[in-house]
Amino acid sequence: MNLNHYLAVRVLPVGAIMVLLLGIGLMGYSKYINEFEIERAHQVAGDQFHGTVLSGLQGLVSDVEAVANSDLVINALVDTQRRESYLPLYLRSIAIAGNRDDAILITDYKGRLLVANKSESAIPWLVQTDWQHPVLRESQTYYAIDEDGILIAAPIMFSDSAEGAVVTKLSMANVAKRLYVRSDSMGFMITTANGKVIYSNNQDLLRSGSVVDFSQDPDWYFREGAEIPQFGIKLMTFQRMTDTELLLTRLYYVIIGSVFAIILMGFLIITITSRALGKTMLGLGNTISFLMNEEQNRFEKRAEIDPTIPMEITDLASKFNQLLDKLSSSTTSKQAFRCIIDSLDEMLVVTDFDGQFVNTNPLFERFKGQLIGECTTQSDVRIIFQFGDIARLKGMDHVDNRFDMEYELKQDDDVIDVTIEWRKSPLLSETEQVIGYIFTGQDVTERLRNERALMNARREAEAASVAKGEFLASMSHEIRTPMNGVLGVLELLMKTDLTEKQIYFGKLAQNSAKSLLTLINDILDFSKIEANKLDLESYQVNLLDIFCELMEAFSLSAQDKGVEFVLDVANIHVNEVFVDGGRLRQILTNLISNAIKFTSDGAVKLQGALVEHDAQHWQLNFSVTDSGIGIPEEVQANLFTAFTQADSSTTRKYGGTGLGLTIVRRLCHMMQGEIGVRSETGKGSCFYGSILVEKCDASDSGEVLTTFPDLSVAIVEDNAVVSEALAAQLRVWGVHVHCFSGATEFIAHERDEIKSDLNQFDGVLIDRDMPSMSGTDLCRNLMHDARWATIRKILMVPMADQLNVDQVNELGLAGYFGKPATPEKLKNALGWLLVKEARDTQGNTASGEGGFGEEYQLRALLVDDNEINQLVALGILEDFGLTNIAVADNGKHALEALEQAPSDSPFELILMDCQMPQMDGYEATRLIRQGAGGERHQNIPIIALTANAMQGDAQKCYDAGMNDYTSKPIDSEILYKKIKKWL
Amino acid sequence: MLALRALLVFCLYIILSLFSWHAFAQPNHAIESICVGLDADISLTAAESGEAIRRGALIAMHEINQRGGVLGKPMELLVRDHRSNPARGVDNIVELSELPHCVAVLGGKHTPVILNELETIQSVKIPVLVPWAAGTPIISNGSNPNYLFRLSLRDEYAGQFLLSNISKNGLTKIGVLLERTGWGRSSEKSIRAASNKMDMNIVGIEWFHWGVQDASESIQQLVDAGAQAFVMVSNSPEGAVVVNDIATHPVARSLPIYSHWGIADGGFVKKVGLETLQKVDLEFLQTFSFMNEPINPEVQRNVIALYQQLFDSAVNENNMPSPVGVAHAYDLTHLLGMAIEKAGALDREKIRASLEQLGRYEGLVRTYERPFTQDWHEALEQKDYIMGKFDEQGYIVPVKRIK
Repeated sequence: MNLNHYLAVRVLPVGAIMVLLLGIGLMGYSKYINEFEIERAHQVAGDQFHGTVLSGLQGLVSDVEAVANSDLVINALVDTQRRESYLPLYLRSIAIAGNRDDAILITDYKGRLLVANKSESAIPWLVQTDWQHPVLRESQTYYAIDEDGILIAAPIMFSDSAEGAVVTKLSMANVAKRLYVRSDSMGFMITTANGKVIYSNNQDLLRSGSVVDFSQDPDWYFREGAEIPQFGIKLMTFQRMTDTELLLTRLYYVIIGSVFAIILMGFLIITITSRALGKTMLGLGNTISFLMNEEQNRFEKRAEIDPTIPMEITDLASKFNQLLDKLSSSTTSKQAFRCIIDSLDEMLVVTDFDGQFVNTNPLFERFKGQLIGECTTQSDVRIIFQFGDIARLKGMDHVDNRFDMEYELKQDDDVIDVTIEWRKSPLLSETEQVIGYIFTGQDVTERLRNERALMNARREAEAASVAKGEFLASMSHEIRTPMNGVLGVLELLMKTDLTEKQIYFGKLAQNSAKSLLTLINDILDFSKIEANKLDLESYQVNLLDIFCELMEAFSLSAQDKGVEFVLDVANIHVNEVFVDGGRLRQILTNLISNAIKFTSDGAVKLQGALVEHDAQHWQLNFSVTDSGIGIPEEVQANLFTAFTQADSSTTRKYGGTGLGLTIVRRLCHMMQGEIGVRSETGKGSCFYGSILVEKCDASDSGEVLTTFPDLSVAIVEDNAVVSEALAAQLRVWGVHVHCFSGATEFIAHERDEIKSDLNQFDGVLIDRDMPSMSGTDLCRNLMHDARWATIRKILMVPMADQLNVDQVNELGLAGYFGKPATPEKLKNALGWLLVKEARDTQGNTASGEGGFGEEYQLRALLVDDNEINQLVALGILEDFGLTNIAVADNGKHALEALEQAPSDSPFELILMDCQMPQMDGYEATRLIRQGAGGERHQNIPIIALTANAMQGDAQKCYDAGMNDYTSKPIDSEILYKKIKKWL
Repeated sequence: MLALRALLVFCLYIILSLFSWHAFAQPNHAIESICVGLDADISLTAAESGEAIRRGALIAMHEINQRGGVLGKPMELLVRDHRSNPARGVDNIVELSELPHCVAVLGGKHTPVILNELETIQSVKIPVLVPWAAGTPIISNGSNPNYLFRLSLRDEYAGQFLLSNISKNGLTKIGVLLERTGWGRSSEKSIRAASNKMDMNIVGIEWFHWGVQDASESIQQLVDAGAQAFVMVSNSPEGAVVVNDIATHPVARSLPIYSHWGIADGGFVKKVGLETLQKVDLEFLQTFSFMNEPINPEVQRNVIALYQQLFDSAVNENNMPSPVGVAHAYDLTHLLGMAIEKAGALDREKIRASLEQLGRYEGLVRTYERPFTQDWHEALEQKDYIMGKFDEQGYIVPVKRIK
């Protein structure tokens, strides 16, 4: 019995019987369902009919109520005279239930007819008065329904009182239009409570007025629907039965046909399926028997799979194929593992739990062969541990499993020492138990040797670095001390009586020494920057002061070269900021001195501007523009790298280290800024840069903004750069400015002004040195002409020049000031214009030597161990007019001198060197502050004189209790200012 | 001593006699009294007006009865509610006329009701005294003898008076809002005549029905036509709808409203609301205010005192509801009393005739030299008209207080 036969005998009869039973069941069920469906259809239709009738009747009622409530009708009850003219018209226009055939009328509050849309004779139902009581007394809408139609009466309300009624009777034919329910086979009817037909949609079968009796007729299906009690009616649905029975017979035929079709199809399906299954299973059996007969373990044959047969069978076949795949692959992986071990760059040893070798790789075998000693034949872990205690094998389970071992090896008749780094890891069984160990070994002899060498090298390098730092520090001190001596003595020397030749040589020597000092400073700065030893400070400075001081400082040298030096700080609107003022000065000094150095004609302009950067910082933009020789483009690129000038010949011509710009750039970077250059050979250069400065909370608003809004000023100046800068600054203050490039232009303009009788300028700033007509000539011309005598004139003279009162008067000046013009000077000048009164003051601020006055004898103590330094300092102090100076060699002597000072003349100032034998300046200061120099000297001002110009020295002085410090070589101006400050 | 005793005895006698009057007057009164009917809306929207008329009449009757009645008989008021319904009004007239001791009927507020009754009145021949309804054809009804007597506004003059007030304020373009009844039509005639005379421009006339719920379309029409002021003839329910719609119209709400007095009652105030009333510029016709300097101060004092005694102790000159109803009914009742006295009998025809013959009477509203004549049954003149408005509490006050 094959599969096909088996299935046909076993499955087919059972299946056929089941299908037959199902068919019979279906037929029975459909008969039941049919009856149920009819009932349900009637129920649904009945509900729908009920809804339609109820809402239709209610709609009619509310239509009538709407008429009764219309303000036209209400009004008509009041408007007795005119209602006849419009009310009948209105009633005739009303179409309750969609037609105008039905009578509608209005009565008064007693039910007396007022108006109707038909004549009284045409309203037979007028005699009906059932409605009057409910409507007129109880203000209720009334309705009654019979086979003729429906009577509806609605009260006309004044406030809450029925003062009339609207009454209508709608014929059933018209009402029926409202009650229409669409249905082809279903009949509907309305009866009174006692079964009298009021309405039917099948007038052939059931006429209105007849009484319904439906229980006897088997051809008809009747269903009594819901009542509508408020209208006193019942609803009913009915249907002829024959239609549905025919439908049912047809259904039976379909079911019987389907049963036979299904049995036939079942037979076919069984045949086809069993054939496909049989084929695959036979193939599988064949494969297995083929493999069983195969002699070598080569599992290459696979079972064929027919994808159309059931999943379970294909699954079985494909799992069998997977088993074959796995069998063949594990054979290959063992071989691959062996190759991996053999190819390892490290020695590998696998041992059992007791240390006996299980597996080793060739690298280890070679190592074992080279080992010196009798152990070479052994094959357990003692070889690795050099015959030490085998207990280490287990003891190391929980400690560091990495260890170094040293061995002696025989190699080409030599004996060499090697160090092997071993790593031990446990070999785990499937149950996570240690069943052995794996050792991997690596020759680290060479590596250890290199590490040791590297350590030594680093130690040496660090020592060298420390030495360099110390050298730098000592250089700073050691170089400055002799330089201080040289410069100081030279200065003193120049003040003695000298021949002209000696003065000449002296000046040469002084210049050389100054150049050398600059050079040294540059180199030291550079070294410090390179060694990252330069730290920036941040303290409150007045930006405008810095710019103005630089202006003053360089104006003389510019003037000497015949170069105009112009300052434009119109856009610095805030004075006080936090920045390292010294370094800012250094940057600008470098740029300015370069500019002046390389410019022989025209002007140098220093510009500064503050721009908002963020909440805490301003960006200070600055630029120095000159009209000098310019820089070729190819040089510009590495201008800022160390030891470069535009041309090596420039060094010879102009001197300098070439370090200046490098330092400037480094400083700019350190101050979070940038520096750059624009230049054209022969036309000049512009160095522009920026740094960040901190905002100063305290005086954020800066100075109170000065304004001269009503002033109008003319500038007569041949140099456009100068006049532009002046104009810019003046405009910041709101001054109206008009620039003239020469005296003649100005006079021409003034003539026009005179003609138009409009003298517009409050004053005029006149440059003294101009081509064709000088400033002084212009002044004279203006003064001697009555028309212009009133113009207030301010003369701008070269800085060094001063005018006396006679000259001022002769030129009729309101004032004068020395160029270059700082904002301060300009402000003063504008002040003079406002005060309208001649002044002979000059804007130049007093600088440099001033003296303390003849009669004043300051008692000061100079503490310095170096005789030359003492000499220099004394000489400078003498220049200030200070001669009452005591000298001490070191801190100890200083304290003695203080103690012994006569009580009537205590010391008032100490100038203290820092580094001295026996007791240095710091120590001495601390003791003085503690009272070691007597109570009266405890708070004496102490100014440090130190050659230690390195970063941090200043702080060291302050920490020791000194009030101020100045670095050597002593700059007499600075010292003067500091002494003034502390007295 | 003797004199004192005599005084005491006299006082005692007076007091006793007062008590005895009360004690014995009641049965007399029940047996035979002079009845006056009141045919007005007592229960529905205009109930306040009906009640005001009832109170005015009762105060006058109280005074008359205190003096010993008319022709020695006390006066009595028979109240019949017509609920603003003309049909009920006709039935009321018929019913009252069938009572032999009912000598006259006081009418109510509604012109349409009385207009509908005219025919009946002429046929049953009973004098009807009108204390409120203002329709011109009520009195000028073309019949002779005329049984209608009025102590109230006359629409013919009302229109004139309203328009003269508008014209006084420099406005010339008016929009008219009228209820579609006999009263509305009577007012339309009067307003048209007045506008022609005063050279004013009626930009539009909008009619509305009783029971109207939305008048915004009408207001829009008048605003579009360029109305500078509204003239309104309406009773409270419809007037409230109109005024509410004016108050919510963006343009109309700033225009003044000059209204006939149909709205002058508490129902209107309640329906419009005090808040809305504050927003609109609303004035309306009145003939009398207790707040003005009284013409006959003693009369006014007595009326107020009796009002408080008989009806509501909280009412005074400033918060009297529907004051014109009270005042007109009061004066009319006294005039009727005088006429009965003069007729000397309870004969309706004689009473009607003697009403036309009455002499001087110093009343509450004014002093009447000759209230009615054979040709002229109007007791008030246009010069008696004033403009009233609602104060912040909704009480009626004169626009210009006459002191």
